[in-house]
Amino acid sequence: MRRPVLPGFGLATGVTGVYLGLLVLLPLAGLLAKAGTTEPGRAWALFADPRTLSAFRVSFGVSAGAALVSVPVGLLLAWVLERYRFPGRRLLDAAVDLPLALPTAVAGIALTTLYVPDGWMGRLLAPLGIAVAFTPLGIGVALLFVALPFVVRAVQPVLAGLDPEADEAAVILGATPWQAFRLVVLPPLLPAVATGAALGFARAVGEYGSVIFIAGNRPMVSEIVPLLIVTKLEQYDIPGAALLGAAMLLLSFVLLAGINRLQGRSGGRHAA
Amino acid sequence: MPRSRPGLGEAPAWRGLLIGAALLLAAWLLVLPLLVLFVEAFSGGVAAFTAAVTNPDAAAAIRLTLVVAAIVVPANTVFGVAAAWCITRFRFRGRRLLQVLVGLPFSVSPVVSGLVWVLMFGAQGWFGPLLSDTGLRIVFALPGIVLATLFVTLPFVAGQLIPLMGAQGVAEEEAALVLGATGPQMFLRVTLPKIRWGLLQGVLLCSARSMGEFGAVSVVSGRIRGLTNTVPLHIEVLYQEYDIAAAFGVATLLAGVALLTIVLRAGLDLRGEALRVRGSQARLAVAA
Amino acid sequence: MIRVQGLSKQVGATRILDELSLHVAEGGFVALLGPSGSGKTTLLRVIAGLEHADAGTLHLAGRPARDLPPGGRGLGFVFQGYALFEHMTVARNIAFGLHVRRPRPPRREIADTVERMLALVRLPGLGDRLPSQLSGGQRQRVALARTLAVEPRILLLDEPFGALDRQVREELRGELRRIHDALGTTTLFVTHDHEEAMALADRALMLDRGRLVGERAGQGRPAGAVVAAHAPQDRPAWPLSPANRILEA
Repeated sequence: MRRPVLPGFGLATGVTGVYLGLLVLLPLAGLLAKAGTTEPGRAWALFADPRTLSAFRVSFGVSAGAALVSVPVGLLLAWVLERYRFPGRRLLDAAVDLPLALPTAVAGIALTTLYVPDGWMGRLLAPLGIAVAFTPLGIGVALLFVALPFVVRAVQPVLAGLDPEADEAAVILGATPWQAFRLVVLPPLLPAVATGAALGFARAVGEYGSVIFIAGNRPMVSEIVPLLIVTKLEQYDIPGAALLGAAMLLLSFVLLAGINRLQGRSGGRHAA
Repeated sequence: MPRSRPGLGEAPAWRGLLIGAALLLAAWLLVLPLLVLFVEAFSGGVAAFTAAVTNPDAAAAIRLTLVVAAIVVPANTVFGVAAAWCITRFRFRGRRLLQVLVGLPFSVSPVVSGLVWVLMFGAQGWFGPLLSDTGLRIVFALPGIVLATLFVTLPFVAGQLIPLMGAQGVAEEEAALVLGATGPQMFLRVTLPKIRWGLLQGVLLCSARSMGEFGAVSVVSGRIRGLTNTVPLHIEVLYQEYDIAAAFGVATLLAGVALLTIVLRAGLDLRGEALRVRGSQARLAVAA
Repeated sequence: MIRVQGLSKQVGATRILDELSLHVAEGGFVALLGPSGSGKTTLLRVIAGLEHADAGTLHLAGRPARDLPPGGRGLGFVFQGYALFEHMTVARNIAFGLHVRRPRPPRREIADTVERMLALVRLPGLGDRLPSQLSGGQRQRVALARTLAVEPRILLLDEPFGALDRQVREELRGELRRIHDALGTTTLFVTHDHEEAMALADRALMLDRGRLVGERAGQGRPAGAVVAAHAPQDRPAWPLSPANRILEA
């Protein structure tokens, strides 16, 4: 314990502890307790239900796909934003915040309108035989929108903190631009890339608002886990909703622990 | 381009290509959805837009959303300052736990953030029987919406302040105390000015999210028109009823709030102070 | 070996290099002195191809070098901040220039060169360390070894010892001179330390506001050396040597 010179320890800690206890700890414990007190048979039936399994498959598969696609796109955006000066740069930087700032329902209806067969994008894709709206691909488009800022924002500060002289040293030593990027710039960025992708994935798995409009929500095809939870609630299947919610919660704990470890690595060297 | 450094020695053509690709991707993935929003909103003309946003149900939704924000934002601001103060200024047992709990709502699915309150105060919830005896309604009423929004937006102010105050250190506060300042004087005259831009950013993000939250609120609201519909829920109702122009009209209100948040944050970034927190912002999963 | 003529560079309203001309003979060891902002570092970076001048010519080994890429100029550059690749081991750092060469030299040859360089900078056995595990002086030795591994004919050093404490600095000075003499490179190094310049170089050039304003013989090499021909003895002022006076005109 540090010498308690500064005032307010009791007040601040008390407020924080009570607030977090009532608003975070208690409800989350309530969820886990509700799920834990369900009969095992019921839980088994739920998690063996093909519809449940399909929802998990869709949620995880499409989120992983979106997170993967967000890596090259995010790297490109971060690179261009940090390394080049060009007209519109600040605007581009601000645009990266759009998915974070735009309410999910608003993004959801906008994306759907773009990608329905007679929408701006849908019209271009329909002749190619590509259907986006109301398919898993549509979920992917929405989740890419949601996940994109995380890689950009995770990579940017690390890229900015790299020593520009290291690039110059590589170039003078005869490296081609691609070699310099691959051997000198990219390796120190990798932990940040992984952190960003993991954050994007975590966000995508739980995403609801921007997905449900474009997904079509067909059971076994384009139904995501968060929607299945809502469906259970609407059918008054409270234990089922609690079980699925608890599964999602435990999953976010696991992801959070992983992300913390990644950040330990990406933050460590550049903290000083 | 005023750039003398050779970077990696890539040819100017390559730079142009990369910049072009980035702008194109951003236009397609990020800007196009925003554009279609405004085009659709005014597709029925200005009169239709005005009618959509002044409709009594819309007005009720706007009022409810503002009431929720007016409760949630001050509460989470006070909490955020208190949490940042105790986490960055003292070392004590349980500090790590508090820190983890502060960030936790970021990683929880919005649907789960609503579900937990249904499981607490719903008819089949832990306190359900107790509540039905007293006749107090929480779920499918204002208190539930407020609780869900509190939960979802809880990390925003604290998440801005913790890295900022951690980096700032305590030297100035200690100097103020040595010079004879009382606790409140020290806080108002030294701490608050030091953290004001970070605090403002947190409040902005918290406000925007509290007005735009959809998943968590949709689970606890019950969607009673004119009563428990917030603006995002009202948009969904309009959209499901194929009143597309009206849905987009109301959606532009929230998009306007989002754009304002981005512009103000960019302005705050220009003040330089925020740039230093950038890294940690990304860490705490940035914004909404 | 290095011939610079009429080099000018302006950033905004500031003239960083002002029709600067100078000549460093093959095998020469020349120090660039001058107050901060006098253009020393910029000159070095222009010679290395890291920055471009607005006007003037640059010849390296008799060939025009203005349009050569930094990696094609046959020179090595040692940065003040070392610029080591922090994620690579010391050995990988030293091997980098050979590793990116096309065609890549055989693995055995690269390993031999790394060992030779480690011995040259007196860090044998440290090849497996990461830069973060080394002291400042050791880091600068690695930077030097990395630069020398590609056998540059010209060695440029930007305040190479600026960040080191006195004892390490003096030790490394001796090493640098020894390596220069052993390899026969042409060396141009920037410093703000008069004493260091005079002790180490056979010629010291004084820059001010982007111009060459004087030069002096140093004690780096006794009389009889290549540059002694136009390096006058014991003059209190800093007159330009005939060679550079012609270039300035």
